[in-house]
Amino acid sequence: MKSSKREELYGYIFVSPWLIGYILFIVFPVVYSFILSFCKYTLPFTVKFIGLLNYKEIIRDPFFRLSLYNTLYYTLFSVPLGIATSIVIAIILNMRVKGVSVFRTIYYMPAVISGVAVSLLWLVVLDPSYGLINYILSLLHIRGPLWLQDPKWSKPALILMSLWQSGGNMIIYLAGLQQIPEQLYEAATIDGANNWFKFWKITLPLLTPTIFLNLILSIIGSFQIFTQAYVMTGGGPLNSTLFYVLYLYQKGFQSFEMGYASALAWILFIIVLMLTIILFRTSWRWVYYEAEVK
Amino acid sequence: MKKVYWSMSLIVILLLIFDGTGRAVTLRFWTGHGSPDIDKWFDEVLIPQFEQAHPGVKVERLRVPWGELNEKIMTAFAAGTAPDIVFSGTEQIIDEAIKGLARPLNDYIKKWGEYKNFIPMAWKHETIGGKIYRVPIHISSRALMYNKTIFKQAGINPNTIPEKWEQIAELGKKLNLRDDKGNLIRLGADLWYTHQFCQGFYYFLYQNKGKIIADDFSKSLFNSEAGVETLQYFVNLFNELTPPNLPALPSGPIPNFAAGKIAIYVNTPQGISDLEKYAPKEFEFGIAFPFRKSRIIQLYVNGIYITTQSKNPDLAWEFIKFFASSDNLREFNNTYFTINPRKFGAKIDDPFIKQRPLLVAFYEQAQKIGIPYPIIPNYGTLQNRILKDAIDAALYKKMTPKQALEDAAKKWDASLEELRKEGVFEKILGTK
Repeated sequence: MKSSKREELYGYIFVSPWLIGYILFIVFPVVYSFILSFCKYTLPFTVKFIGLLNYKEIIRDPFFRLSLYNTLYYTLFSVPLGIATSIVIAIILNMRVKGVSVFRTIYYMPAVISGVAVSLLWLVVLDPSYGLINYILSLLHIRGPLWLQDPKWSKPALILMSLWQSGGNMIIYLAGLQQIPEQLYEAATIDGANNWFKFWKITLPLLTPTIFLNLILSIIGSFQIFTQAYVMTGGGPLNSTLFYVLYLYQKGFQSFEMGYASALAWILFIIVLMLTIILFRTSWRWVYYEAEVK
Repeated sequence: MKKVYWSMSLIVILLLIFDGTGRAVTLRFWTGHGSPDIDKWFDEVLIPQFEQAHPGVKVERLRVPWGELNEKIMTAFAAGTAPDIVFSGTEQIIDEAIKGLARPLNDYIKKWGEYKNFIPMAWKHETIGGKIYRVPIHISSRALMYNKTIFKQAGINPNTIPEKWEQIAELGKKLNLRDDKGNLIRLGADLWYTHQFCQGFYYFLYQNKGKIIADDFSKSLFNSEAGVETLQYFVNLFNELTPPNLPALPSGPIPNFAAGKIAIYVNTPQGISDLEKYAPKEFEFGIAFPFRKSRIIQLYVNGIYITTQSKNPDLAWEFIKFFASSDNLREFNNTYFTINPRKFGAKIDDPFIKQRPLLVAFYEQAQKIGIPYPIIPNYGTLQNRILKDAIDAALYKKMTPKQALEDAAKKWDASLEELRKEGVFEKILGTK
């Protein structure tokens, strides 16, 4: 065997553990779920091909529409609010003040705590009688809502909770802020620009590539919201927190309708893919790259 | 190279020796039931004793979190890796029969000769279409527990609690206590857990002389007059008895009951164990079995079965027999604070139970007025999705109880018809 061929073979041998894992645990399930989406497969019975019937049923399914609405509602509020919160925290923590690294750690900490632990913690924080939030509101003579027990307040409660976890995105914005050349601010200062003007004309435009990245990641993440609803509300009250992935899970692992659940998963994939494509296609209007000439 | 060759050969020879001789037969046993005490009893008493009595047999126990048991069993079946024995919950029996997970045990039970020593109600729950799918291991139920000290403080005789739910609800309202700002600091009555609306609804429905489903599973029956009245009562409880700032009680009502923050609440016999462990010594509480029109209590029968994928069904049956023996069931139920499904005669002579008058009350009522919990096919969808949504819609006043139940009944009937067409009932009941 030629030495270049042998080297190529060794290369494949060395990457094979990852390659085999990828094919077995990623490619195969994805392909299999696509096939299952055209089948009736109620565990533990056998698989039966039914064509597009699952997709037709999904379109008529009121829980599909409800779960999609709940997820869109959550995305619509949690993503922009999350981005705004992260940017504000990042700007504050980008200041050169003593002890800033301690604050950075504090703000980042919620992002490393597991979802279940965070959910259990927030169950207590959002408790209508004993929770921290309603206690603070009571100091201001405001009677707090029932939060997770009230269909009107359950989604806002989860959105509020998501904001507490903005630390992960904040770190990315912090990195983005530190990429902005200092001389741009110096030049603006010489020209007499105030802080607001500098933020609006320098910081924000040069941060748009980071915002764009976070926007895509946050939308994908918020469409996949599951743990909070699973642990804290089970989709209630009155299905007000029945998010798409929770409904998918219920169909797959509580009703054991694997074919239907697979079709739901593929519809979710198409929705997220379409949104991502739209964002990419429209990004040229508002995302500025430093070296780019427009 | 030689060294590698000899090492490899040695490993192969060792593997062959240990694989071929003296390998123990392993029985895989999954249980959704457990507590630290029960886990200890399984691992230090039941399983070692069984293994000692059956040399060469090893029992591998897996405690599966309650909420994941169904999911794990179904996926294991689909993968062909189901365990030999499963100890499951009251609602699961029907799925186990319909989906062919459980092996009918009639022949084994006939030879065993212990059938007559169990409460008939327990067997009734474990039998579908004449086939016995599980051996009952423990029974749970619900009763009302009340804090006698709060009663005394409120000037109410703690020994004469009203007998009817409506009166209890009225009493609950009186026992609500608020601080100067109007915040609720003591809940008068928490008559059902918020996440168990369906179980609560069934309990009241059967006490209201209603039924949830026809015996042959042909149609739903909960949208009857009795059903609508029950749900209306439930809605009233939720909206009147439950004040707007009811504590969410994420830790469950027991700590709040023990701390005197709830005066009356509904709980299982296991609640007695928790209160013995966690409540202050001077804590005094009573137990009652209120009713509506019919004086009954529902029994949640939990049982054990051999899976159809077990390669050692006879050995699995030996384990079930051992577990369900008189001594072991007594020990299990006394440790778990549940009701032993074996008959206990007119008088309870077990010193552990006798010492606990509240547990005695559970035993007596189960024998006198116990009826099995209803069996609902495809309960993941019919109960946990359709009926739960209907109850929710009525509780949150999106629909009237009548509308909600009629809407749910239509969906149930359509789903039951679909199951009938698929031949599911024919398979288990022998009827079309």
